[in-house]
Amino acid sequence: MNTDLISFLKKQSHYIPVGDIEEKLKISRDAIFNDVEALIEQGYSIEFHPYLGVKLIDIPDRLLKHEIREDLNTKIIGRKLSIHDQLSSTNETAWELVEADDDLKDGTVILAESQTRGRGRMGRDWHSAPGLGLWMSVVLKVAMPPDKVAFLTGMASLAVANMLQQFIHLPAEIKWPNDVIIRGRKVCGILVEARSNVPDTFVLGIGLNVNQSRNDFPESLRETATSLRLERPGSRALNRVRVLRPLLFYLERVYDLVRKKKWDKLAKAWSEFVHMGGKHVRLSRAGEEIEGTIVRVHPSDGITLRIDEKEVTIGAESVSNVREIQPPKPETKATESHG
Amino acid sequence: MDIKEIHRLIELMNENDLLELELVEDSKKIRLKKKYDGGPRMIAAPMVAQAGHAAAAAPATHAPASPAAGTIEIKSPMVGTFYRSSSPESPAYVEEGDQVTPESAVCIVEAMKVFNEIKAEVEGTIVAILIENGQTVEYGQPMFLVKPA
Repeated sequence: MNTDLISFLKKQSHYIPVGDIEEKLKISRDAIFNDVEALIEQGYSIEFHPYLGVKLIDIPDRLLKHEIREDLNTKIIGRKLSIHDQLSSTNETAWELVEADDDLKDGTVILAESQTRGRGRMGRDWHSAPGLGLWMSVVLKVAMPPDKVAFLTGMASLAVANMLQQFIHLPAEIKWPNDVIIRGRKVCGILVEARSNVPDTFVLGIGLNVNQSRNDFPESLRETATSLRLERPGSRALNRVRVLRPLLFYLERVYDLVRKKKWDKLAKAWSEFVHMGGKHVRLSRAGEEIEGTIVRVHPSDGITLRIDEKEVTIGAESVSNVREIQPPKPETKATESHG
Repeated sequence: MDIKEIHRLIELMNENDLLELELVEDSKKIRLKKKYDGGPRMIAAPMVAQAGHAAAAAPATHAPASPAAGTIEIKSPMVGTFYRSSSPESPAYVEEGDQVTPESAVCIVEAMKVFNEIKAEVEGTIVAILIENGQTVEYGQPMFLVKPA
């Protein structure tokens, strides 16, 4: 693939005559036609005008290394990319790379156009339709204090939610513990894994639904899952590369905070996306059901509830199954009024 | 403290015929206790330990008694939730009687939203599974008993 030609075409704001390309890039007319055809075959959208010349309309919605790399000014995340058409699971491949190579680079990103056995938490399947989402894993080589490990999932959900809000202009929220939702439906799942025989190494799996339409989801997920496309005005599809680039950038920023142990800063930023303050919820703590109003949430400290005037904090590792419920009706006091 | 260090402590106990060993290091404390095999016991006064060193207690019999078929414990390296398999539908990583190598995955311990696949780190046969699926495990809590190869 002639990446010089692509770079050149990207710099042009309008059509460029073939003759100009010949001159500037010192390649023959025939070579230009061949290269353009090859690019179109790769999925590049290129227009030929008999008088005006050549214009690049858009890059393909394909995980192409040179496109993902373009303008990627991260130092760690994504410096090494491992891209595949199909994998059983990007997390699984990430572990294979980790266990095969002690010197595997921190921040190595594994991507797949589709997964046959994508992993969700609790061993559930993660549905990874080909070409419709970003299915990726990032290798993180960092020593984490054991009580702060939850910040890895927290940082990832923060990066995704932040990017979706600021870049794609969607009202993304974080739903405890680390799902990213838009208007109540899940758009991104995060799974962080570790292995006891590989210390100070984590695999961060991210599955982001980008272009699915409702029928692209299996029936069981249709009410609870969504994609960026479904949430956008006019349901316009997105080029996944244009979503991936800023995502890698946001991941770099949060990873930087993790490596610098800026727990308070991360917790504060994370909690701003968790719109649960004031909500009345029921949750499970070690098999026991508890009800209360949420005062605040923290990625590792957990959920602080107000129960009967008292504040109770339940650590992140003990909380499960948080759901919003109707607040108890305030007792109405009958007031007598004398007419 | 990681699994390797815990294994070293177990080796220490075996080498010195100790039934019980307690180690205090800064704010961390771990106590390892072997099943009493019934042989004659000698109770020694606990040695005064220097900071960071083990305080040995109750060394086992002096006589070269037949060694108990020593089993090794696979212990949890963290506080979390123990799972026998990677999903409710999957078969358990190991069952009683299974052979394991150091690289064999034996269970998942979920801690703070991170799923940790625990490797056996020993070679041998699983003789007992001590924790139930979904149960909380403590740091250092034995999960499996392995008869070393």
